[in-house]
Amino acid sequence: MSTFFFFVQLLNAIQYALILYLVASGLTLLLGIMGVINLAHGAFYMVGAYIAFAVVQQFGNFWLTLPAGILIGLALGALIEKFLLSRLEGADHLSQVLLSFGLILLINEGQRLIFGNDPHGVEVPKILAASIPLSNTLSYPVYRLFVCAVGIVFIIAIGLIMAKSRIGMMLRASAENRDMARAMGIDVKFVYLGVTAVGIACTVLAGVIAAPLASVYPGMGDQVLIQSFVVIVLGGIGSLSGALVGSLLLGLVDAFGKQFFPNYAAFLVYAAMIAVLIVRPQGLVRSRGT
Amino acid sequence: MNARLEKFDGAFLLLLAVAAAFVPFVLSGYEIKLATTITIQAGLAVALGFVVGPAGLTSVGHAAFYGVAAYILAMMSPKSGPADMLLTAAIAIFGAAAFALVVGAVSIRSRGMYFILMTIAFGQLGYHLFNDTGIGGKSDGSYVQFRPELHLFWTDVSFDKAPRFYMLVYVVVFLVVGACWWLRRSAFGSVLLAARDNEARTRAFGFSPYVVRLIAFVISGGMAGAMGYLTAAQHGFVAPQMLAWHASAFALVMVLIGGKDTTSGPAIGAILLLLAEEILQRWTEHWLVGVGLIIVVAVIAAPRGLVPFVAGLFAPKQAHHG
Repeated sequence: MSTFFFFVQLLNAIQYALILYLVASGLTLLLGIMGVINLAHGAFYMVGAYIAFAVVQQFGNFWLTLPAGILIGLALGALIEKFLLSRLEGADHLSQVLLSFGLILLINEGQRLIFGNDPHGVEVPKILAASIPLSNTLSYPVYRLFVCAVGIVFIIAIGLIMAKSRIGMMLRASAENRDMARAMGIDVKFVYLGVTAVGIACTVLAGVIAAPLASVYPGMGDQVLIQSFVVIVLGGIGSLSGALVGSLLLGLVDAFGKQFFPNYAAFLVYAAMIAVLIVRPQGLVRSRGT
Repeated sequence: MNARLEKFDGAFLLLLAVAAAFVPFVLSGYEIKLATTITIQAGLAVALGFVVGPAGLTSVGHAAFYGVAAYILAMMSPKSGPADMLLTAAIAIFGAAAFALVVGAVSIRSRGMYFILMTIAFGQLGYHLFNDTGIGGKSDGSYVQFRPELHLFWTDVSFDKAPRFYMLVYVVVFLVVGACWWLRRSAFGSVLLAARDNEARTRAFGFSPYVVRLIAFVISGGMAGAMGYLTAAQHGFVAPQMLAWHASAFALVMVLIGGKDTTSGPAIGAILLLLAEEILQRWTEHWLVGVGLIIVVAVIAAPRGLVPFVAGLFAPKQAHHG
């Protein structure tokens, strides 16, 4: 294996890890702060990809997809919290699992009604369409570097918000002790609304930027959903830093697994997760709400 | 479970058992096949309800046990003639129970959300085992060319005719549902409930919550395996999707719609959901929209399920004390 080849695989691993982290961070916030299991997260990822497809098709401009994805994601999240999740307060996880499963069916069929079953492609924006030559045969697409850049900006932003800002403090307080936070004057309902909206917007955004990397197709969120669950379990529920560690680990296992054991790559991912859980049942990084 | 709910539960079960016994005499052709599918799924839902309700374990991986048993039958079936039913069924159920033992032993150590995520992961592990690797025909699935035959003493009983296969399914599901009903009311069921409701006290009484939960999980996994075996025998075909978490979630929907705290609830949930599916499918290609709406409405409107809801309608108006 040449150094370049290794380097390309490493970059692919990091790029996939950053997309996973975008999805997983939203999921882990919902889990950690609200104690909500959202199986529909993968479906929202698909929604993002289809938003990218529709916007590029309609307006021919990739840059519009980013704000469109974020706004639609925020709106979807707010609606779902306001009309569905808020009614489940105090219910068990079973209800959440099934509610989000019902949402998956609705979103998937909605997608089929509007876009049909055919896979679609989303063109990479012109400015990012180039490739950087690495050797005579290998080159690396600039768009993938752009995805990495978005991911890194996101990591820094969300890290700063959680650690330094007043909002981050409110989130951590609500995760730690809901009733105490309420007693201290924090509007927990509003925090939940915000967390759901932002959590789902992150996932939609991930779908938007992932759309030009591969084709856009029905059920594309499935693998991302299960893998981001693995990421969260690896990292520890509610831990953003844990999710980052988990994402990188999974990105590496996935990218190199597909190269060396193409038939067992998916298998290895779950085996890794189960191995970690046997040793550390609470995940690699133990902390809540940060 | 209070006394009134228990009475309703028993009455519903009796009603279902009697009604289901008439199926081969009243229905014919396609309807018997549909009734067979629904009865098998009802058995799966009741088995799952036994771990979700009394054991308090929200398993989103039960389809894996169901599917593993189906694959065992497919792999053991000879190409030239029917397999031996007792032998293949015993190995399939044992295999499913053994898989449940492994999954349970690792997953039951964690509670709540971790347990749910782990069962999803194990289910997907099973899915990828059959979908990605060479065993079992990859994503194309695999065939059971001949329906297994029962070798009884000197005769071979064939189940090729739909009414007779239905009767076999009826007997097996009757036994599974009966066992779940009995287990819920047994001393073992009481310990399970105790472990769910107060772990510390259960431990103080000398029971290990981990062990009783694991036993319940393995029993339920083996029962799910029996249903997977019957499904493979019915359709003559197995596919990796049988193990995937979507299938597990579907079974959970049945449990929730009917009510996880009863034995009859999951069976009623299975009947209602599959009949709704059947009707919607005739009506529109996008029938999953209807199923999705049913699920969302059921979760919001009757989270405890239909059977407790109906039992509640008959509750005497209680005067307030103190």
